[in-house]
Amino acid sequence: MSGDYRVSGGGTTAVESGELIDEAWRLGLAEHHCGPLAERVSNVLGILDRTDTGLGRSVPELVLARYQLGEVARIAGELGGRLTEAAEGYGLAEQRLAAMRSLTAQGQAWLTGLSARLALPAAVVLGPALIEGAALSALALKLLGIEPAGLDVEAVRRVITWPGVGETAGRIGDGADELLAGFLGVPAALALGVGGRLKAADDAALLMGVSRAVATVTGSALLAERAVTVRRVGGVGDREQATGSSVRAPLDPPASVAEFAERIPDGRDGDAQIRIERYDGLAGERPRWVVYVTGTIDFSPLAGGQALDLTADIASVAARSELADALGLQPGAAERAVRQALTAAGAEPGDEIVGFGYSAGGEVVANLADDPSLNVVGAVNFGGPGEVEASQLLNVRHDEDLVPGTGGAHRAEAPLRFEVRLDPPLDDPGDFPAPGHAIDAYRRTAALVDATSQPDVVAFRTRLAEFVEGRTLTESTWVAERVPADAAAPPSAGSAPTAPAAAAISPSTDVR
Amino acid sequence: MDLYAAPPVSDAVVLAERRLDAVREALARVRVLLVEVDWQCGALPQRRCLTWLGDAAQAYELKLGELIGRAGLARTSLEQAERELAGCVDRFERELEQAKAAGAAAAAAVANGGAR
Repeated sequence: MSGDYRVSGGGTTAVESGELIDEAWRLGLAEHHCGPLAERVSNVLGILDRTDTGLGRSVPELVLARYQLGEVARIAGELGGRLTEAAEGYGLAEQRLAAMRSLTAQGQAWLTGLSARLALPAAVVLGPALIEGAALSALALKLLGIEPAGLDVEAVRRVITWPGVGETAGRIGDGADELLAGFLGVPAALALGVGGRLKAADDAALLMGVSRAVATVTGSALLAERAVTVRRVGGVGDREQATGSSVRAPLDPPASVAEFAERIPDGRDGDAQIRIERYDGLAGERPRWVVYVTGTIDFSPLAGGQALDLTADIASVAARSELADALGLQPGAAERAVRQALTAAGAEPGDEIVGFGYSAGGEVVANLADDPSLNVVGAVNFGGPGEVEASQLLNVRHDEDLVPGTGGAHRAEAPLRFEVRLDPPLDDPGDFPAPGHAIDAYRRTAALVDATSQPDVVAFRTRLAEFVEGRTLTESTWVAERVPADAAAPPSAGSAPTAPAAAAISPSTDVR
Repeated sequence: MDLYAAPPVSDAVVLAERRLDAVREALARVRVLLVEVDWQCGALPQRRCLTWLGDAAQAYELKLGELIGRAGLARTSLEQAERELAGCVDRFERELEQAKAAGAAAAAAVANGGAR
């Protein structure tokens, strides 16, 4: 993988390339280093003042060196300023481009809906949206283990690993309401005006609201959220019970983002999906917590026992909508399970938390970071939809990964982003249906996060390292399960214990 | 007269010692500076094809070239100053030895004269 990455977010400098960052860092170093070097040459000249004869050309050479070093500092400062201006220019351009793309996507979606209504050949206007939509459908079928006759899996794979596929998916998600408006014949001005305010989270909220109504009437499990439970399956607690000893094998705190990423559970069905590390410091001080959450395990739209499933994914995106409260929607099962596991592990409101999540797990930690009732001081979202406005969140995404876009196209005010175009290209994607989304690829990208000298990322990295450094670590792993349909009512806004705004991190009643 | 007292150090020797000390200190500092400037030269941007700057790239690259050139000149000047100062140290050490020898000879002459 190359070092070709982009870091953005958190200010007017919205886009920077890895090359530009590296260049600016080197120039800043030269500016701040060469000025003092010139002063130190002056000091040497002051020493030689005591000896006024017989010094040959040493004094004029030192005077020349001092002048050149001063010039290097001046020019480095000037060039660094130009780089900053260039970066800001890129940022403004990106913001304008994003606005244009958003409007274009809205219009495209509205036209698509209108075309369907008028029975026009949809392909005339669907364009890339049709291809992406077909690819998404095919991917879903593939993940479900269904391969329709005649499906060219390789062609689908090529489509879903196009660089920029995530952004396209995000615009499709954002445009679902415009598509419906076009189909219903709502005038374009009204559809685009209202639709511009409705994002993917709102579309997901409407979808969840409809599916819940259908489930209530028909008993269907389609996207029907239910209560969730967590149980501890590993870690120090079980070891204590097994051996009767409170002494545990020491674990080393992670020392890099890559090491944190390695600790995210792999996400095999039946295994623990959540890992929690408790970091104890001085006596009397509250512990700190690091939570790791894996990605979607069950891609069926029918809500089953697996808490990390498609229903939970959509519910978590929907929970970010301003419509969620009105529709009585709760966070997805995965997010509720993580909150419960933290509470069961001993976390209390106000405790400092850091989260690492992959895919759906990334979405979960992004949502936790965006919850003002929690004290999440840092979170890294590897390849999950994470378009929340939490400044302490780092979104890591691959250009060839469509999943991050499923939460909607990214916003200019989004948190710190670390974006990578995979290199070499994914000519040999292996067996994973969406190779740009593979957890191993993201673990390799974590090493790039460790290697960058971009100041915002360096500061973020430093905060993570200091969070765990010098503390005693104890771990636990947790399995999250949705309760059987006949054992629990769907979660609603009235079930206060699971509400994200509640004072507690999670309810304790569902823990066993 | 105290025959066991150290011979008086001449002004020439004192001056030579001070000059030698100053030049030795300057040389040591220049050598440290050379190491740092050498590292700084290695840390400077070296790329000459910056596609991300578009039309501004040419002006940027010209200025970057000037920066790299000036850093190289600073290093060359420091290297030259280091060589000059090292030569001064050798020369001043010899001159100090000569001054000391002259002073010792003068002191011996004085002592011999007093003894007679």
